[in-house]
Amino acid sequence: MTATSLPRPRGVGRLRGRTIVKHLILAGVAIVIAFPFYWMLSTATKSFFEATTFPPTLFPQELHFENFATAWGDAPWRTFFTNTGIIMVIGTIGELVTSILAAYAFARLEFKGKGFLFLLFLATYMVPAEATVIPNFVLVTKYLHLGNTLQAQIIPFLASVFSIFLLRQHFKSIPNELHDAAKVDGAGHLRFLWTVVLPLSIPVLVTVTLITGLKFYDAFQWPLLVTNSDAVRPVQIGMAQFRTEFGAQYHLEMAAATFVIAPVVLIFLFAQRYLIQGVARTGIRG
Amino acid sequence: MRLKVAILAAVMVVATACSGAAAPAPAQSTQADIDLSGQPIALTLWHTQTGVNAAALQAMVDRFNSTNGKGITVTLQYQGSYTQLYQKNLSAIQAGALPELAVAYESFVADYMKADVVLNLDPYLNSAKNGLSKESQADIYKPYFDTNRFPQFGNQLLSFPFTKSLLLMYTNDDILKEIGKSAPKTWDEFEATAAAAVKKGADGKTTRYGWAVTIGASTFNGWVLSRGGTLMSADQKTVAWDQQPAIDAVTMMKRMIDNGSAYTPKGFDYQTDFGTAKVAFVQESSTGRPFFVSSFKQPINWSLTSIPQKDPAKAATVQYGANVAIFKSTPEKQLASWLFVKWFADAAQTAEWAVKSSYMPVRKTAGDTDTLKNAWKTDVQGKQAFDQIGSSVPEPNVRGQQDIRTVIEDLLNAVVAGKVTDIAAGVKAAGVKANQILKDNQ
Repeated sequence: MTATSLPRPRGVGRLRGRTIVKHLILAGVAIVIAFPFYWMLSTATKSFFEATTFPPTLFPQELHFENFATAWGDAPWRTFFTNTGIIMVIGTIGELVTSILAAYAFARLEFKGKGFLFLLFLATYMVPAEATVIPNFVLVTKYLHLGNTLQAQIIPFLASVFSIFLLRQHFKSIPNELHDAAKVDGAGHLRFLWTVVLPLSIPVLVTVTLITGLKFYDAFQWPLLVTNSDAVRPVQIGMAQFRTEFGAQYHLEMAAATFVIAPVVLIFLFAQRYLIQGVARTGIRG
Repeated sequence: MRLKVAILAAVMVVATACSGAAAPAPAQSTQADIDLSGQPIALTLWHTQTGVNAAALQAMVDRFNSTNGKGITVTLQYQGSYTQLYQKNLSAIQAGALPELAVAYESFVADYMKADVVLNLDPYLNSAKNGLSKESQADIYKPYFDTNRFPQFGNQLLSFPFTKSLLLMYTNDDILKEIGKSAPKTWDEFEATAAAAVKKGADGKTTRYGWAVTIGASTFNGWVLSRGGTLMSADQKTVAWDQQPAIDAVTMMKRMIDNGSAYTPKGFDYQTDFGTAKVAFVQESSTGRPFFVSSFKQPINWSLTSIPQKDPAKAATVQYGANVAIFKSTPEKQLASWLFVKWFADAAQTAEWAVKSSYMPVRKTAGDTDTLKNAWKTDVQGKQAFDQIGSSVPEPNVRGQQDIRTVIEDLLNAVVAGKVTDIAAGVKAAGVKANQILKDNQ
């Protein structure tokens, strides 16, 4: 048997060249995205001096893993993580419930003033959050008496215009024929929503869940404003422990950032496929 | 019986009159002189301290709670940075949810007074029963009282010194020795010394600067004061920093940046730059000492000297640091809050706080305590700073000052960026803006 070299199809070389260029660009983008994470880890294992020296060192000259233990000991992280977990889970579920119901109503129900009401909803999205901070604070502390509680960090965010909009866009794309068929089978709106719409909306629901969860996880300004004691405060407030008006302990701050960011990175790695699908299906672009 | 009552009343009136003639009676206040029944009184103090300082403050508060004998319990609550604390207090005023005490800059207190929520401390300070004696008051540095008296509000004492410091010059003595110069005392000497400290590498790039210029309103105020200027007009209605001292200071800053003897560092980089001998001088708060020391790769010889002056015999710098304000609440809580503030300002406590936090003690006699004397054996620069407290001058405590600080910082940044080239006109324009802010806040 003799080996015969097959003629190379025309354009293969150009294609390979394009692939290499594409991969080079992707590798460049990956480095840009990954570098802040590397920098965080690298700084987290440096001494204070090395972390603040200029020009900065790319690799730690000495590894100071004890920074993680020091940073962990500098704030009641166990309490902060527990609080964040509670706030994130309850808040996300609550927001999902209100958003799904509202989005379904805007997408599939017919009622007087629907268009105007939806526009009104969207208009509230244009109001900067800073403008509502003091009225919200007064409402929560003075009238609801929820100051310094976990509830105060959840209740004001149980409805989200963005989530409603995202879900509505997706619900509108579900064919009417499915609803007609469900109706013939005797299903009402809630049953149709539960048995047909939601199973068809998993990617967008995962997207909304992730975005909402991250919103609760990243919250800093509002929890700081509405809480007073560490017993009810979330993780982001712990991050502020390493800064003073005269300087910052960057190495400890980065060590703390590492364990604060770890759960989010893990969740994202597991759910990124759904996140991308969900955003793509709703036609939203970043 | 009526006669007896009349005689007794007459005797009391005469006795009161006589005692009044013998010595001026301290300001009387039934609220400042009440007895605390020993019933539990819970107080909350909102603060901004983190890390080691927060732990030290907590330990001291725990000691107060266990030893005050009046049932007072102070709870510390961290509320983020000063700005965040300020915003939270503004929100809390709206919601009627203020704590009993809060750490505050003077400009914050002036803003809180819009709602008339801050307690006048004069009756408490002068209370025969719960106040401070004249000697004790004289032991507290006068500038610390000056800064907490608000001319805009009838010169009332509306807050009390808590975390004080002053603008000083971090001076690398090794560099001065190398270039054969001594610590500059005047601005002209400073400019010449900073220029002499500059070093360039073989490639012509600067490897060592004379001065790391930290842009800030307080630093600017220090420059004005050290050049013989004042910050406010006598009637506190217009700014007075928009004059020649400011023009000279900003012009010099720009000139030194342009000729390469000064630069503007990013963030806290000036600490590491100083620690690695990349710059000879940094003008910063005395409280930054531990951060500077942490950035020393190897020990260096350094001092905390006065910022340069127009007339070193009349040295003046700016006083930094926050105070503590007591908010109006019940008479019992107000008095309990005052008793805590008074306790914290005692020589023993203020010395302990100074050692643990690197802030300046508020009393002169704190310097006589073993606590500080022992600490100064290793913290030589702490003693140098302590010796200069008397030259520190408060910043304006008028309403609107917080916005005026932004005007000053915008001016300095614009000059550094080359957006403002006519410095005299720029300073004057900033003064006009500041005066408008003051007018709007009357």
